[in-house]
Amino acid sequence: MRFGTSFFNGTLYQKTVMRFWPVWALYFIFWLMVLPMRFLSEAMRRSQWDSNANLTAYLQQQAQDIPSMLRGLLVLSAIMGILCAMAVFSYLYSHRSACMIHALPMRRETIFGSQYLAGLSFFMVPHIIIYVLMLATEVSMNCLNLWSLTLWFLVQSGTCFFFYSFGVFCAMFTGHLLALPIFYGILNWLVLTVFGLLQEVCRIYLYGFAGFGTLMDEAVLWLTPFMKLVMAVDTTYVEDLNQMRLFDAKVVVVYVVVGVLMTVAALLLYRGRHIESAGDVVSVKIVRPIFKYGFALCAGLSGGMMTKAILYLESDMVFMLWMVIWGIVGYFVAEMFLQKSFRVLKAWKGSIAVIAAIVLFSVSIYQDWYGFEQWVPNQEQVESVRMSGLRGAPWDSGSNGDIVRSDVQGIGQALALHDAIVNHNTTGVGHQNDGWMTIIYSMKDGRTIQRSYDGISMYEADLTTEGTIAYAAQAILDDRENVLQLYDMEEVEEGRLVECYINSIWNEETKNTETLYIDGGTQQLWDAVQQDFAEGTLGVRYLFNGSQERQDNTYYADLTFIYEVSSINASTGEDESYQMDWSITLTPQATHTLTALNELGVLNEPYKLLTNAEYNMLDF
Amino acid sequence: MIQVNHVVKSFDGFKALDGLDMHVKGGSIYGLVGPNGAGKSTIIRHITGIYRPDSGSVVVDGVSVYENPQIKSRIAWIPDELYYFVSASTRDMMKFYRGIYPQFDDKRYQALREAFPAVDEKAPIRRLSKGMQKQSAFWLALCCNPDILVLDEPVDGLDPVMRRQVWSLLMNDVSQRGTTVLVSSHNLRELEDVCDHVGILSHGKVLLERSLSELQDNILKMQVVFQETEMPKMPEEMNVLHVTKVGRIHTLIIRGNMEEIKAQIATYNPILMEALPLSLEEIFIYELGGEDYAVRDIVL
Repeated sequence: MRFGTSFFNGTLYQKTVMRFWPVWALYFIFWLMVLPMRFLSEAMRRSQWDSNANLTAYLQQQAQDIPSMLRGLLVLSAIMGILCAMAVFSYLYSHRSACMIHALPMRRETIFGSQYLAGLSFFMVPHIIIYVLMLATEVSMNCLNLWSLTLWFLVQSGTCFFFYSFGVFCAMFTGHLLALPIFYGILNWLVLTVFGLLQEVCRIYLYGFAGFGTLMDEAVLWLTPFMKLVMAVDTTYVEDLNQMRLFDAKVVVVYVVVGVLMTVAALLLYRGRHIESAGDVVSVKIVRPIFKYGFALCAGLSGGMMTKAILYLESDMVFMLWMVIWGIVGYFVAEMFLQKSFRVLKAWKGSIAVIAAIVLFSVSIYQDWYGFEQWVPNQEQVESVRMSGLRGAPWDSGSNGDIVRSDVQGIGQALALHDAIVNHNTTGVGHQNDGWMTIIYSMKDGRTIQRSYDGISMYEADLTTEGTIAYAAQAILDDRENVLQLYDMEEVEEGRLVECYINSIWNEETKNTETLYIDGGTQQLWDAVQQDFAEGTLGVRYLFNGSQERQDNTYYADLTFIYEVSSINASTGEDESYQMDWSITLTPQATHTLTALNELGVLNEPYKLLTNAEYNMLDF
Repeated sequence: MIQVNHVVKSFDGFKALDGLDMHVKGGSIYGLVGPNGAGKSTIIRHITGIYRPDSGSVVVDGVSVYENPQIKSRIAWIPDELYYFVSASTRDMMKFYRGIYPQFDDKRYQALREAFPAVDEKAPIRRLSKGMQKQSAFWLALCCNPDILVLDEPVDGLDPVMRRQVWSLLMNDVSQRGTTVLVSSHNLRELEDVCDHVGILSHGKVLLERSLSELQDNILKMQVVFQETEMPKMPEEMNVLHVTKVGRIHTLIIRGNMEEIKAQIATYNPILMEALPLSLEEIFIYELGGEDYAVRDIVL
């Protein structure tokens, strides 16, 4: 026997593989049934009525679609990963078994290597056998699709490898078998959950908070492996290549590399592991305070949010108090786990730190110590800006779109409005309109920064006062470049005009409004609308719906165009075109459109266009 | 052969071993005795290379045991709480140990079948009785041909015949192969019969470590009847560990040289004076009495 630093002992490996045969046997049987046996069964069933050519075509399609099951069965990889880790390192969680294994004449590296490889074999050997069996099945049935089969093999093995390595990594932090799957599950989702909770707390405390930015979102996604992988292993059919492709194969490769790094980290942890930690919830000494305080803070955040939702808490201070209470509860629960005892009150000193941390965190955000609420970027920092929510009246297609500007003037408009909002610049006089708005800045340094404001109070009297919210908002709506984006006429242009109608037109006979379909002349009307739009007589936006200007200068009727957008299904290649509508409120100044409507006989008796003011004057 | 040098080991702030020093000579049978919680099992797990000391060292033939497969392959260990793989039989475990221990002796395994006839080698060990499991453990451990055999409460659960059988096999290995045996037990009467060296542990330290004969020579029981009813005051330099009185007979447990003690007591002209040897159990009790560990008269 060699006693140098060996990473493998055949006897230990063999014993582990044989001891846990139900794990790999069940996994193998599952894939046996899902792939080769299902193929054979389908072939036998269909051969009874289908022609050979049809059967082959069907099986070829099935063989091609094999990778499409990767996404749905990712959860199997995750479960298999942790099951294998739990099985092969289960000896660490009982004092007797841990002592027995570590009394054997083997270095830790040898034990780790043998056990790790045994766990790896639990899924890799079934994958290899299934791959070979499937290859033989496809060849024998003349439906071989090597690309799809190999893609399945590589991705299924890759995801299983990552989750298994992740499970092994988690296994090194605990001395308790039941704690292992819990840690594994929690760590898979921890970052996303904590991030979500922090965002919710910030949303409560900070006016305008919309998130930590896309870079952070992306980082959070990467640190939530299941989420990232479930998106990455989605498959699409690429017609040109006649192949199934992963949405993002690089992600799987990255996680495989991470799996390797986690394995190395697990080995290093294992080398330093204290065998006497068997039975402890957290076996690594330096991780114990991290676990304790992390658990307490998470309990504070999640408990506080839960209480807020259940009790409809509105006061920020009461919310903070609940976070503190849950934080203390979490602290003592964590202490119970660590000490394996319910008598943990003597460790009360640590709870003071938890209280201090939660209060400090809450107050710092509530008081905006980081200057978040007042932050408005400098013009030179901004690459472009997107504004949503600022639409005004009338309620036609112009009230749906977003405005994106990357020019100095457009960015300046957004900054002026943002500045007015954060400083609450209003006089509080006159007709009020409550609005919401989201501003997304694309910064020159690559960051994306978003602010969302609701309950923005705008007053009509402020329209003439520079620096107020209403003044800045109306300035944006007066800019024809912005209005053009709101109406997004390009989309209609790209489609095919089908028909048009005028809705809410007044009928003098019935004394009611009606929808009137216009036969022919759709293109003529569209051209007229474009002409009026260009001249600024159509598509005028008003910040205040109730303003006299809006009431006098817009008709009650809208002109709606139906257009068809062509779309080809990437997977099937089938035409899936759909119809959309686009509407614009008519105005007395839209001479070209009104002329066209007259020429088409739309505005003949008994139909008549009424301004909003006229309509509102009617006595029903 | 085994040298434990100032080993310290703490568990959650509790010092299980507090600078323990211990030396076991090659080819000896070393009895490790001590009260519950003294640290016997903990030091055994250090000697078998399972635990890593916080400080200090455990060396065998001058080489550290921890993470040393070469040394560990020469050590067989029978713990107080046995562990075997689920549903593994003695034969399964034999195959496992055969692949792990380079000195494993197949022939010995066959030969020892006669020594443990009651053990069904094909039956799962976990289904066997406690005594049978212990027999299985001895069977497997002896087949590893260890140079060092570490036993933690080894004969606990064995019937008297099997105890004698096991000790006989061990003694045979010690005499034939020069095996060193380190045995921890509370059965002091049994240890007294087999051990040639004894170490007494208390509070994570070795209180004393001697050969059994040295130990017995260094402490003695004197039964004395003095002229007076009351016992005269003994000289300061006499290390009297314990005194009891029944009628006029005073029984003194004294540490020191027998002849010197006799001469000192003789100066008081006792009516009767008799020196008696102490059993290991008595030595254990009286030595630990000074460590605040004694049988207390508790009225219930």
